[in-house]
Amino acid sequence: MMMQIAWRNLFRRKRRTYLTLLSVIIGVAAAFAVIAAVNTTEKAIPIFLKEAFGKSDYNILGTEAYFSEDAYQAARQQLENATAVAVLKENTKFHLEQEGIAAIQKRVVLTGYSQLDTPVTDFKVIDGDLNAGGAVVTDQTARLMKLEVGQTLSFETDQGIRTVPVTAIVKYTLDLMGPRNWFMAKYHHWSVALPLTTLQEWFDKSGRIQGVLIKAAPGASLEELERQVDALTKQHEGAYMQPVSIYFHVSMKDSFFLALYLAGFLGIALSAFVIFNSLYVSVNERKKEFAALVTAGL
Amino acid sequence: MITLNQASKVFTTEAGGFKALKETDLHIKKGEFAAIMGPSGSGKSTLLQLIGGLDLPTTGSITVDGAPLHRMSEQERTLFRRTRVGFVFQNYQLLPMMTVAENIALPLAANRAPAGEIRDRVRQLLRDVNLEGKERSYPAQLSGGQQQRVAIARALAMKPKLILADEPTGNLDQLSGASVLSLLTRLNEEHQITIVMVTHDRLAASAAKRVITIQDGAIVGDRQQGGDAHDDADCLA
Repeated sequence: MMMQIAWRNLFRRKRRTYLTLLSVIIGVAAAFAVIAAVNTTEKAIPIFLKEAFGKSDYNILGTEAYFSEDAYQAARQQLENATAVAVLKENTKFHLEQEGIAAIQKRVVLTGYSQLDTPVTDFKVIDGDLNAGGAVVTDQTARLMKLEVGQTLSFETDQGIRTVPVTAIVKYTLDLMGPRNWFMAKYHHWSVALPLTTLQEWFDKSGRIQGVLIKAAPGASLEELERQVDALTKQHEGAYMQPVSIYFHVSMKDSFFLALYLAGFLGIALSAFVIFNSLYVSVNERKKEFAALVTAGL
Repeated sequence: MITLNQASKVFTTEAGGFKALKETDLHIKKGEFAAIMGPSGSGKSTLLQLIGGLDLPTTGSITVDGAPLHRMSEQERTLFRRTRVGFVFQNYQLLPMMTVAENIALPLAANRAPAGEIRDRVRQLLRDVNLEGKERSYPAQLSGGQQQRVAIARALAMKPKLILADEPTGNLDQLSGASVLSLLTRLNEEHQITIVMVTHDRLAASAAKRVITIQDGAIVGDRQQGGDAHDDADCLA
């Protein structure tokens, strides 16, 4: 009997019932969304940051856009228990025979590495050889451009069109980030890794680099490495040391999570407000019913 | 049937205690039709609620049909209300989402009576209150007088020995009110059901055989009366 009364009351004020249900759903969803977002972010962001910026422990950067490769050579010779890789980046375009591709879709960032097979670059080879002296692309880029090891890629360079064979296809990595499809190529450039010397030659940057990535060997002292890198940069004018630290834990995290919690709280508060009002009106409206039930001995 | 012995009721408000009913002694015999009269706020409804077991007295004792209400638990009083008392209110207090038949069947269903018994009893009650054919109607589809008759039928569902009516004609026009009073009188006379009716309407009170007057929480008058007024009610019906 009570179930029947409750059921019929649900359908007596359909709009209110739907609104209450919607509020319950929003409230529960907001709570779950915040918990899920916070947990996921807490785990995913540090991984992402480490992947994107944290492969090296220290970087040597220049006060100008380019600086002498000497700093890299010195790092290779002087740093103990560490790997150093020189890096140079250039923006250019693919030279494609294929028609119907806009110029904007051909944008590519070429990254020259002094060594490609190192713990700093950390490329996971799917096919080919990182030390073969050719271009390195991700599996995603290879799939979209229908590339296989041995095929060639052409680029517009300061020296004219230059062609290089693809010698390695690696697992997708943020260092070689590229578009997911040709449409997205309008909004995101391609990325290709090359030997440093090739890039220096193509763009007339012989002996010039943009940075040195330094990674300590497993178990090596970071403090000692820092001291060595600091001393090294002081010997080279226009170079400075940049420690790579993931500060997400202490700086970004709190404000980011606060925003998430705030959004969740607003969702829950809104639904609680609607549910409270809905129940308040329903109870007030049904006081006579409750009285009738009490007097009828229910 | 009903015995109040020094029963009082104090309500606690922000301003302090408010004595709605002073220490009261009252005895209503089985089969009596008593009207309780008095101005608004005099304690009539409080007295009715105490007799019906809806509330407990602050002091004293109340015995109804042998049941010591002042000593009964909430659960026992709920069962008492369901099985031994019928309530009729000024605003009918019918469940708007249920049909006439379902409203009448409410106490029977609450008491887990068999479906067949409920069906027969509802049919009988609809005949008694002259509402045959209205069983599938909803309260909003009935007139005030008809709704009050549904409320009376519901009050009679468990065949109680006592009916408590709080201003049963208060919301009705004269003709409908007289019809309801006539029905209550018939129930009292034919079925020996004790009726206690709160009213401030002299014409309604004239249907009763005994009129108890209450003022400022105390009984100030108690008199038996003849059947003339009752006849008036019948004439109006």
